[in-house]
Amino acid sequence: MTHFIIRRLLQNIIVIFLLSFFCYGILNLMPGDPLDIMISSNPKITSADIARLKALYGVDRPLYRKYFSWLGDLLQGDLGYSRTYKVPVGQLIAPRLINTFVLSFSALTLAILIAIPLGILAALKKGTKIDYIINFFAFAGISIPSFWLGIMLMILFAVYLKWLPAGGTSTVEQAQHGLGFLLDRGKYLILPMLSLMAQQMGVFARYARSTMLEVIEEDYIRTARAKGLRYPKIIYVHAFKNALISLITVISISFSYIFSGAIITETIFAYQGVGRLVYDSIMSNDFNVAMISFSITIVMVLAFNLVADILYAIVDPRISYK
Amino acid sequence: MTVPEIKNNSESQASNAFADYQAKTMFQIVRSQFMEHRFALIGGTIILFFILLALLAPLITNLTGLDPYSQNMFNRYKPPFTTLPFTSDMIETDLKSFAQKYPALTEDIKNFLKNNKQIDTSIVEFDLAQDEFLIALHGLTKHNKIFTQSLEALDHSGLRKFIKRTKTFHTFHIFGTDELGRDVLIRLIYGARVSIGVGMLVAVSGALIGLLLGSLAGFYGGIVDNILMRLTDSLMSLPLLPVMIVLCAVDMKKIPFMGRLFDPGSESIFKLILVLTVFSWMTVARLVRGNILSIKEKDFFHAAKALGAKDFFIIRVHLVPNVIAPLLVAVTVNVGVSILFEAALSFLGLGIQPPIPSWGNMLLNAIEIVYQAPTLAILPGLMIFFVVISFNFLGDGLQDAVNPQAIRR
Repeated sequence: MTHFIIRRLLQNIIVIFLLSFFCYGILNLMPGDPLDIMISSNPKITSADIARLKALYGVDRPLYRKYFSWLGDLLQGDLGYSRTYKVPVGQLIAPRLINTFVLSFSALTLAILIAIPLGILAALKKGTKIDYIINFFAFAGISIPSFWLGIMLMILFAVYLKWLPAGGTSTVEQAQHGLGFLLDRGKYLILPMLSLMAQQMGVFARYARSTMLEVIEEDYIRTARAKGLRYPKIIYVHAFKNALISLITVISISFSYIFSGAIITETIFAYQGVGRLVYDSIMSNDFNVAMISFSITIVMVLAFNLVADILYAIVDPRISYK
Repeated sequence: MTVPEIKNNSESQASNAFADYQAKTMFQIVRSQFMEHRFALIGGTIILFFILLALLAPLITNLTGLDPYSQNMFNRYKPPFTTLPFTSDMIETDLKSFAQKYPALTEDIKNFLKNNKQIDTSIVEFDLAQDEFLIALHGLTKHNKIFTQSLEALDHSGLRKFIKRTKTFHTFHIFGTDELGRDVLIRLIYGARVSIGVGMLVAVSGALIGLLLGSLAGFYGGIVDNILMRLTDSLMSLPLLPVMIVLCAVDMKKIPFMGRLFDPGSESIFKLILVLTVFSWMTVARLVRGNILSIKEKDFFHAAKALGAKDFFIIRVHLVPNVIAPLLVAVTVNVGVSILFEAALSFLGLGIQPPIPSWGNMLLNAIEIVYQAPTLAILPGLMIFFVVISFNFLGDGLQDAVNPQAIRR
């Protein structure tokens, strides 16, 4: 097991290295570079100045050398400087990262808690009206564009009903601690959370339904029934535990979707998270911020995949990593 | 003689007993399975309707005179079910084409009005070119009610035709107009062309790449398999949307050959198709590889090998039929996913660039004035929702139909 984890860690580090180089490369292909902006904002600049600036920032070096110097700085703890916000990237990202974590984890947890029981219910009542209704809503959740759902929720709850704020992260004059703070944050969280949850709920419900249907057909369920076990016990102890195995994969994959989805949701609701930061930094050519947010997302997704694999081995004794 | 008769009898009885059982071909089984999936049928019908609408878009433009690009700055944000008069530009072009189409008729109208004794035509200018004469005449009818009534009272077939034509000088906007005064309905229809077209193209080309790479990996195994599958895994672990955002923002001119490949007008569409395709083949590749690996373990595969079948024969007879059904399902579902990604990217302003209409970029323009004109934001989203859910249900129905374990006998 330890051997497996170490091997996977090494593999992941190589993948992270390659992917970050790939991202560095494509970010370099975006229109405009840092010097273009400096040059265009300063009418008195001379060509000698430009040459000196280019030498100073090393813009003319080949791609791989630029990348390695960036990586070297990163490993020494220097994340660079945000061009738009004029603060060190670390200072900028840390609070945003927490906001995004709050949003995505609450959305994910709630989606799991609601959708998986519904999926199991649909599987147990296969072919009935309940099954059809749950199935239809699951398909609707997968098919609805999350940004459009966000806009519709905003129109309904923020504009017409005026129950919830249309966007933002917290009320400005609100105290920074205590119960009032939590309630205030929660109020701003509901709409983004709902629009982020819809798709995940659809995916989870459908997966829970299909894996449960598969498991119910297995021999050991029939044995359990033949033994005369009570029905709820069969479902919740024997069937659900085994259905859980394949659900782990789906949930771990959904982390990458949730980080992707957070970009759109946070942009619509003006929620101060990493997703919005990624979008803003790409749009405003804020290279360091974009690169760091990218690396964080990639590391996060790979880490969750690894955790899922390890959980797999713990939950399912048939799987052994040797 | 009696014995064979009895035998015949019993044979026919036996065949009667099985008369209601008919052997079905594979296709018949699949079709009857599919027909039982009601949601899939509805989904398929909706998709057919939208595809038909998209294909007939130019015809609809011809019939109704609505154009997805013609702007009308005086009639922005009109609510649904509005009737608007033609602008003077539109009247001029229409009358010019009328004069060009029926020069004799126009001349006839001119002469008839000049020589008629019934009404006062002193306000009409006759020494104009044909088209300008018609435009001037229409201008008079617009502002002078008495003159119009007396013109309508005249008995002249050409004049009647002209008046009938001027009566059609208004447009009806069932869904209202957008921020540039363009008709929303026709833009939705042209948007269907772009959105569904991009979705299908991406899904099909992604499937082809996936089929190729997946079968290479599955068939040859070893190091080819290892490299291709690691590539698939790492692409799958990328956070897709941010990567796509960067790729869409890439300046094509910075890449040596790409810059010259696209013309600036449709660059955004090709770039989007390219970017979406790059990230749409992984599931298909995995699926194909898994299928081929499992087939390679099957007895019929070993038998074919042992009998000395050529590689191409095995691929054609044993691999393709087993892979094609799940492939079809994956393509169908992928169309929906691609439409969603296209909409998301266009919504962020990085996909299809205006003025080309796509459902995503129509939403982008609509969100800014969502309070004044909510229909502009509701309609494109509903279109996306209907089409994507239809593709998903269709995929589900196909999945049920081709899955041998799900066959109900």
